[in-house]
Amino acid sequence: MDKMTSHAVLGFGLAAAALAGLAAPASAQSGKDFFKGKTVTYIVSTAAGGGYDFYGRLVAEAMQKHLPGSTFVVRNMPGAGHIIGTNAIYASRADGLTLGTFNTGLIYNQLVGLDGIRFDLTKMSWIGKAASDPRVFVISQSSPIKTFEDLRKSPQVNFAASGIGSASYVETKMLADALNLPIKIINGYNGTEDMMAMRRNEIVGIIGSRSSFDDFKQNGYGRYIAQIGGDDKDVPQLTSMITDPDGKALVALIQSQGDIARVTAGPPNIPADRLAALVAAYKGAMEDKDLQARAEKGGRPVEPAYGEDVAKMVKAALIQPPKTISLLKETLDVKVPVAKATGPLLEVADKGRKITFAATDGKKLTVEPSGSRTKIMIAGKEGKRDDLKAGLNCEITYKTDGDMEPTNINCK
Amino acid sequence: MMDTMFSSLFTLLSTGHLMFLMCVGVLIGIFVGITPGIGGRLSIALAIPFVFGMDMVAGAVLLLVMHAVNGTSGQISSIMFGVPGDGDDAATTIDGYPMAKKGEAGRALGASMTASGVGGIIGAGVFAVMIPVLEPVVLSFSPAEFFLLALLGITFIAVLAGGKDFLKGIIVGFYGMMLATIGMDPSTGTSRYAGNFLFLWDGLSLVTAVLALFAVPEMIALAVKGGSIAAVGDSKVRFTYRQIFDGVMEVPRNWWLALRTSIIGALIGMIPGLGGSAAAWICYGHAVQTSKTPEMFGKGAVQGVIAPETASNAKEGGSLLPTLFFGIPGSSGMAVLMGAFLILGIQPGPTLITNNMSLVWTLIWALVVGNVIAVCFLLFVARWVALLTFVKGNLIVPFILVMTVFGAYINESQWENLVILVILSAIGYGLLRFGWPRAPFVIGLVLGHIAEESLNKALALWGMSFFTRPLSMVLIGLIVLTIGYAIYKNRKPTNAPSEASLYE
Repeated sequence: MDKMTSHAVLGFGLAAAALAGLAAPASAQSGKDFFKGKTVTYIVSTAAGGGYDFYGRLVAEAMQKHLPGSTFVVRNMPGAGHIIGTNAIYASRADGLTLGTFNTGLIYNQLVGLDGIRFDLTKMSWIGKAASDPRVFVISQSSPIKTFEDLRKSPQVNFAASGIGSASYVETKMLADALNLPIKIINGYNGTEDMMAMRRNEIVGIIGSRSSFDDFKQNGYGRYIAQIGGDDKDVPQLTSMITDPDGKALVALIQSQGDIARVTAGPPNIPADRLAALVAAYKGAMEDKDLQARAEKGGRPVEPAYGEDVAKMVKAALIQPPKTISLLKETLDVKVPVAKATGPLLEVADKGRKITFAATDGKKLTVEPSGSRTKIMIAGKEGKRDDLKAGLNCEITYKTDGDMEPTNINCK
Repeated sequence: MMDTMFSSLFTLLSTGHLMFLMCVGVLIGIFVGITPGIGGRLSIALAIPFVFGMDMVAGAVLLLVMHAVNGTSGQISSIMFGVPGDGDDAATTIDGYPMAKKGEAGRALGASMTASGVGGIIGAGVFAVMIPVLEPVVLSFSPAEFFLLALLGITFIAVLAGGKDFLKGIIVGFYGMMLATIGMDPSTGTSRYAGNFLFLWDGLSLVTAVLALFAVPEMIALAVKGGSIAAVGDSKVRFTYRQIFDGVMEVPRNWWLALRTSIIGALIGMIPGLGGSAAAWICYGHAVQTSKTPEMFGKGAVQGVIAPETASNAKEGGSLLPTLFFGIPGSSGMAVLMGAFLILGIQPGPTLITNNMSLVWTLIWALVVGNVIAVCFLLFVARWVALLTFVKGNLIVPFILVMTVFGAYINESQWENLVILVILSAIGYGLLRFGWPRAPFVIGLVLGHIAEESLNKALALWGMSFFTRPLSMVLIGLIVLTIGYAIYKNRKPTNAPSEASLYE
């Protein structure tokens, strides 16, 4: 090839590029063409089977249909409560060829900056969400608690949650604290174990997503006493039953989180035309009669929202008053449940190895401070067990289960 | 009742396309079972798009059979190469692989396949019998009982590690339990030994651990030793249908054991929360404990193959019960199956008994017939499969190692698991090389986790008084008996298994 022609080719190429740039800034059409013959990886942040996998496969298959020439491949990346999958989506190349789905409960993790997250939900390229997932208070059928008011007045009851740090625990704990509900949380119920536990009557209730419990309720095993979000008319909304503004703010946070369920998102900065094409394909998928029929058959509702709208919802959910954030932080930091009692030491025996005081419920409580673990402060100075005397006015922090060992004794 | 029972069987057998779908289901199930790392759960999730258009019965039969025969083929690689596909197959490895080394792969395969089939059928029988009493039985097992059942399984470590190996077995078992604590502690939310390695947050991958502890060391040992897996030559003589048939006959010869382990397996499967691997291990322990010749276990005792295999197939029938009648799946595999059932229009729940008993019976019969088809097919091909143990080791080893790496990766698609595979393989080879038992490790890893989680829950629910529940007292009694028995056995050294005899 001589110099002339190579210049000509180059010139022509530049001109064409310039023309293309002028003609179609971020048009969905050029984006759509990009996906011809390309393979898109759709990451599902859980193992195969289950709701996320179901929606993920459904969405991937229908999006492939609405992006002609593309191939969607579903990849399961389970682990660490959706964090592994979400990190992988966030870190992937922003060429529009990697998308995925994860639990929006990660909003809580980001709000308090938990360990392990390497993503910023506000920066992700939001493609859409497929459903809303209102939360319900489910109460076992055999329990006398019939309404939310009954729950408020009832003596302490057991509620199930999965591990500490999980969205289910965070929501249950925050609601119990903020609304002063007589709930004791029992951790570690994974999957459907909580339903079994309610059948066995070891657990009275659970705060869970409505779609997971509809069958349970239909089978006559439980009832709903309150709901957060959604437009079902059969259960009263929690917000209508509370007056406390902090509580209301919290319920609003949980609701906003539940509104954005079964999301599809990609890494930040996907080129605008490709993102537009993906959003269009997602929209096409959600409006696809076949997808709707399948979702219906699987008992999975479709309540979509798209692109920018979802991005706005996510950003809104991530702006929270400091009070809510500190409540969240407290919830996620708690290692051992403790209680704080203030009052005089009623009795001190055995050189401070046994102390008696009025516990939070007003009853006398005798506990054994530990020489190594219990922190003792007397008049602002570090003290020893020997220094404790009956009649000293103290603030005592003690564990509420097991041996009730005090962790802190702060006396004037 | 009787009407529905037999008309369902008749419909199943006489409907061409149902039988065809069952055969398809069996073949897929067998294939999935052979491939390490791919469980029944994944195969069902992948099959869901295909059942969308199917009618209720056909789709349910296909999926159920696919899931149920997984265990029947899973043991092939455990026996042939010492490569268990997952936690329950690992129990079969302990006696199955030594049998293959003795040149008895055919006998082991015959026995294990028949045991699987028999287990599956008895499991279906237990399913049928238990329907009326399901509710009280299942609901009487709570976290307190899960903890004690897991503890009972763990005490089998002591039984398995009898004789001079006693201390070694205990050490290895506790090491397994220690590794079971890796990950996020659900009751405090602290990460233990996992740091910022996210892949460890959910605990050590069981599949990876099992492959590293059993498969890799055996392959290294084979490569070092040279020759073929079967240490006896002369394949032509020893490799006939006769040997396989001999294996098949071992099941009726040990019918009482097979019946007991099938029932135990089905019951464990029925109780959501214990998991399938527990069934195989608890039944293996039971076989050793009740054997008149416990010293033979680990050296290639056919009972050591029969017990876990009956259990692992019988549990399928059992775990279908809570799934269908409570709408509460007992395992992750069943959860996926239930999702598929919903798509097919089957509404699991207590009303199923009253509304659609013919479907229930069709599913029970599908379990029976599916297991029979799988066993017949596998027994037919077993002769050629078993010949592989006579192939030269250096041809087999690379192939198996690739399968192992594949299995460790695909299960969670995390490359970090390959690093874990290498580290644990080194430990596994060390144990093998110096004659330390490896089975207690897997028991510790599988049951340690269940024990810890259940104990936490039981304590939170009832405090220390949880073990005064009646069923708990029974289980405590069993644990005390087991430990007492182990101590008694150890005081009579002649009866105890000798060093390095177990788990060679």
